[in-house]
Amino acid sequence: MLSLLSDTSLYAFDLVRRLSDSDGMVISEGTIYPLLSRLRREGWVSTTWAESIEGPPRRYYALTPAGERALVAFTADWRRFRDAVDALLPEEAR
Amino acid sequence: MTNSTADRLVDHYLTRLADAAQALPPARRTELLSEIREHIDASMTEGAGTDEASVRTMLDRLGEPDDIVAAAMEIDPPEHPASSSTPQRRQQGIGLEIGAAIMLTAGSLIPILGWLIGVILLWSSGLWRRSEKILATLVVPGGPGLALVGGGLVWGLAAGPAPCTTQAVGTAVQVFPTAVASGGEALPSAVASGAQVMPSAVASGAQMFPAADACTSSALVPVLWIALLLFVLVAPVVVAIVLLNRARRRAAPEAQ
Repeated sequence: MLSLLSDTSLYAFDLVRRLSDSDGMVISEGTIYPLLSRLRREGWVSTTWAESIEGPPRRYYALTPAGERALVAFTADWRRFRDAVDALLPEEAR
Repeated sequence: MTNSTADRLVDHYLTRLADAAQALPPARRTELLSEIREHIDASMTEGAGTDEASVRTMLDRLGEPDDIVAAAMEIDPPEHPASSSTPQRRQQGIGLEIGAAIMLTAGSLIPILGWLIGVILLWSSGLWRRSEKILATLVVPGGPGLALVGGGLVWGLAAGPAPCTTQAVGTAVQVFPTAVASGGEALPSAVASGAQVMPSAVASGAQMFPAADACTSSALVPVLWIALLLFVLVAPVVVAIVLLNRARRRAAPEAQ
């Protein structure tokens, strides 16, 4: 989620759709909203309201500097974890 | 026509979500409801379609209201539970257990009475199992305080005959040469005199051995007593800490 926001701020609905479209990581789209609220309370994500041409104003999510640092840390951790698991798996299973 | 069915579906979904979200703190509930509502609005204006089938698909993708609220609780457990009675109950429950633990250990310095109060508190707690209560009662009856006072008294009595150690060793050393000397005299001379000597040796031996016994046991006493006293002081404290931790763990799920 943080990495989806790393380049650009996203409209909530788009963000949720993109997450649930990326290889079925999300079963229920509704559960992403509590996660977003949590990230906002952590100070990793900020929300801004923007008028839209059609319909009500939209909520946009963007990474804060703290969120960017968290993303960098997670990315490094994930790579280390992935490499460690890869090293343990037999060749043909990779 | 289709629009009204779709609207009804949305309304029904939001009502179910609002009901499920009762478990959340008010601020989080409002937030979640407005976010989901925005999502639905966006989906319907964004060209996903407002016909019944599209709305059903969209709501399916959102997931069950119960699941969403469960995820909200899991991701960010509310600090203050919705019902205000639970934290109070938790404090009360733990207070009794803390009282029991204190009275069974430090409180037992008030001989017997302090420990008895501890036992009463212990057995009136609902957070401990029967086996744990029995363990805490048996380790140790009267508590470490009584053991400390009682141990001090017995220590004083045990220390009383201690001077015998040097005396007894002295007699033993004195008795032994005489027995050997009389034996040495008795053996060459006659069986009769030997018969006379032997009882005296036995008699002096009989005098010697009880004395030596008393002295060895009194020499062992300090070591045994220190070990026993340490056990009696430490074991109840360990039991109290372990039981208190268990009580805290058992009280925690109730508070959530």
